[in-house]
Amino acid sequence: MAFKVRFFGQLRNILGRDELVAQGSPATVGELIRLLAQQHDRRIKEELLDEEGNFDYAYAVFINGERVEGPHTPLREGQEVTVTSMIAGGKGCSTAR
Amino acid sequence: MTQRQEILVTVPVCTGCRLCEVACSLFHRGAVNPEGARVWVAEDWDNSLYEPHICQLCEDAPCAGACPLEALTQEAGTGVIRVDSDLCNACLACVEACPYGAIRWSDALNELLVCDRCGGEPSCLPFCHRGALSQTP
Amino acid sequence: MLHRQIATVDLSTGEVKTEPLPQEWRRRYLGGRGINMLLLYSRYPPVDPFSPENPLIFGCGLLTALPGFGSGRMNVTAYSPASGNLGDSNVGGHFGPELRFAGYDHLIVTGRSPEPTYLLISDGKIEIRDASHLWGLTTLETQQTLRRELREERLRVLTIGPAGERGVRMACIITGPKDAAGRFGMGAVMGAKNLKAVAVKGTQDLSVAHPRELLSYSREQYEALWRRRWIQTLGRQGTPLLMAPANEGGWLLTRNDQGGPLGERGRAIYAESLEPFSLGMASCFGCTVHCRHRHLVPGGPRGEGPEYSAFAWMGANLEVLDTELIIRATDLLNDYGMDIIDTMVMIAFAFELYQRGIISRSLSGIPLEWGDGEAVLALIHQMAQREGLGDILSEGSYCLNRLPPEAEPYLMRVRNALLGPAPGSRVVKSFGLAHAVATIGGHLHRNRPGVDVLGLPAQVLEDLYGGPVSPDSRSYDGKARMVWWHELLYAVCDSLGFCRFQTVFNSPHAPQYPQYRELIRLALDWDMSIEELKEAGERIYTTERLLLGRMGVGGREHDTLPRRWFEEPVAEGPCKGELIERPQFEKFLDDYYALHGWGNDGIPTPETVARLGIL
Repeated sequence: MAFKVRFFGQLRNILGRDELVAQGSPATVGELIRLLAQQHDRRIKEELLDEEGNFDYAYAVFINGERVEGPHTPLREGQEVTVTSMIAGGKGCSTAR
Repeated sequence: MTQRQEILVTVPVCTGCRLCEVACSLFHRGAVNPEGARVWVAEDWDNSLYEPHICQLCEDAPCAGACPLEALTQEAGTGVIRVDSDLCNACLACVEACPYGAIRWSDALNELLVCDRCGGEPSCLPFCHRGALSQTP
Repeated sequence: MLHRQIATVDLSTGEVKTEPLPQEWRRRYLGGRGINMLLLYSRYPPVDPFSPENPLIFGCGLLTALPGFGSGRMNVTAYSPASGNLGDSNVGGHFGPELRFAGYDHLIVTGRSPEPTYLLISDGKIEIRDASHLWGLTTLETQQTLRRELREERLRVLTIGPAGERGVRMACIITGPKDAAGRFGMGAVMGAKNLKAVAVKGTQDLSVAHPRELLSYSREQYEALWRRRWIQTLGRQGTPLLMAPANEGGWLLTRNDQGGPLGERGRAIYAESLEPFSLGMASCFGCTVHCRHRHLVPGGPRGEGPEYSAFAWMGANLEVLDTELIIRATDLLNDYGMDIIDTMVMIAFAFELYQRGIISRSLSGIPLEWGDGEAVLALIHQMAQREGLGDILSEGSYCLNRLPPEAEPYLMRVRNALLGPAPGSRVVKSFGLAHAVATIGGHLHRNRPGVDVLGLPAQVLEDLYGGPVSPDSRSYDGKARMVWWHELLYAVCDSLGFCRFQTVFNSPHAPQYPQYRELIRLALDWDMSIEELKEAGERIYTTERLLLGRMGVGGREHDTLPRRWFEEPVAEGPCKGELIERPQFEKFLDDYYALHGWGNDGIPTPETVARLGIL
């Protein structure tokens, strides 16, 4: 199965991509993020998840327009995931600028 | 300080926050006062640009060469321009000679202002997050 | 640095007076907004906003111009021609610091000049000068003309455009290409005084107690800030970055709040759509964020902005899904000197009246169809020039007496002030509730709590707010506490002269009281406790509430929201069905008044007034 993820805001800036497709059968959003990190760019995982594996609050993740509470949210075939920045929060990064 | 401290100016990334002026005047005057800063940001609204001006430590500095009273001397090694305010009569020949607009005369403060690199650790640099003033390109 | 002056200029008599700013005011009201409110409260009873007696008060924050957290800011305060109530507008750019370098912290302008004038302020000197040659010029032309004729490249100017001259009620005051004391008609107050501009050049030292320590402390703070994602994102995309989460999350409003979010169509006006026009970022004096775009439209204008308010209030609410048109409209408004929020609220209102057949083509002259950007531009010109329907719309909330009575429910306002950018306000309950109790009428910068939308654990919120707050943004629980807490913090932030984007507006970890306390110590050698700072925030907010009482709008019955928010649920999208429920709203008010120490009628109790030492 192929899952498409679209990026707006900071993650788009960091990755230099506005969308990516992951191949596989992830059961949750968290698994999808891990697949994307393996298949494309590990920074996706480093950015989106905090030390405890929750979403970093600098970002908002949506499935078909519905805000997702956490990485354990189930995912079904055909759903589209969107990641945006929030005007808020977020961990520091060592490569500022 | 014995070495030249190059400061590179990258105009397009300057946002005009003037934290360089704030840091400079705090370091040199113990007060915030952009009029007394040795770096300054000009605004070019027609071209939507903010332009920092700071001494480039020219070889054979034209400002020092232009001074009829030898009030300006270029320090060997560092390239910093030293001003003898007792000799300066505010003729502004140095201001005209500077190709970078980096020497300024303040009427209000009765002072010729040029960057002295803060004796080796320029105060402005760490405040320029965008890198409009930087030591490396 | 503590020996600062208040100048009072009477334009009717030409008299200029100065007085020292009393030290005891400082610790109680800090500066900027706080001292502006104290001046208004103690010296100037409510008057007709267009009358010569209305004082126009410019006030710099206690720490404006110092290395702090966006210290380029100041407040402009007067009785508002837009709402008829309290008017107060915060402005960035470079004017506030320059006023301080000229030796003044507060400038009060009263009276009315018989002829167009401007004020020239330089190091301890204030002149009233002829401005007849400036009358009619745009805001940028005025500034460039003054710089040229005074031969002062770094002259800082606050000016009105043609809209302020004509008494357009949403006229603003502009400095630089786009910084605005935007809301509540402060430009119309200037126009009524025949005051075109205030120009300032200062060269005086603003000395501080511990300069080297202040340098190293601020450097350390900034380096930490620059590692934060929210600073990096704002510094690259600017405030329009909010369009993506607002639309994807279903908060965005369309068609004067009738419609839900834009879905896929909305992506045309996300922050990314600005990239082809952006030359880079710009900032206010002393900023660490740099949130403003410098833009160029090919074959068109150069300028700065636009902001989220333009994208949300023109782009989404009017369904003008065209970034180039949004840029052109904001540049036009900046030239005329008109507030984009109030202007767009009025245009959305007109579009809805047209949609419902309450006004006809014979009145509007042109069709007013949702999404028609050219019609928006035409209405802006009409409003600025007070022609046709534009003349009615330029009256803002006061337009109703010139329209059929059926029009009233569709005008979005609180306490007679047109509503500030409100996306999410029926969904995120803390946003909605905050609008009802903002002392200037619904506007996000008085009290918007931005932190419960981040999905943070309940404990983080409880630690921040000092009491339980539900992390569910659709819940009402604890939201009174949030609104109250942000009101105090923002009152302090404004009164210090700092920027909202560099405090707990964005992130629970942004600078706030502890950092403010340390900056005050380094700058002034004052040991001011966090409790003392919070109490200053309480005092400022309660003083504003007392001012509302004097104007007859300070009671519980005035703390309300547009009827639409109570009665019409969000029509579509992920937040379909959300609205503000009346019983929970009343409970919110009870809790909120109790936190402030106000009575259940919304009026500060004598005990609270005495405790805060408000005279």
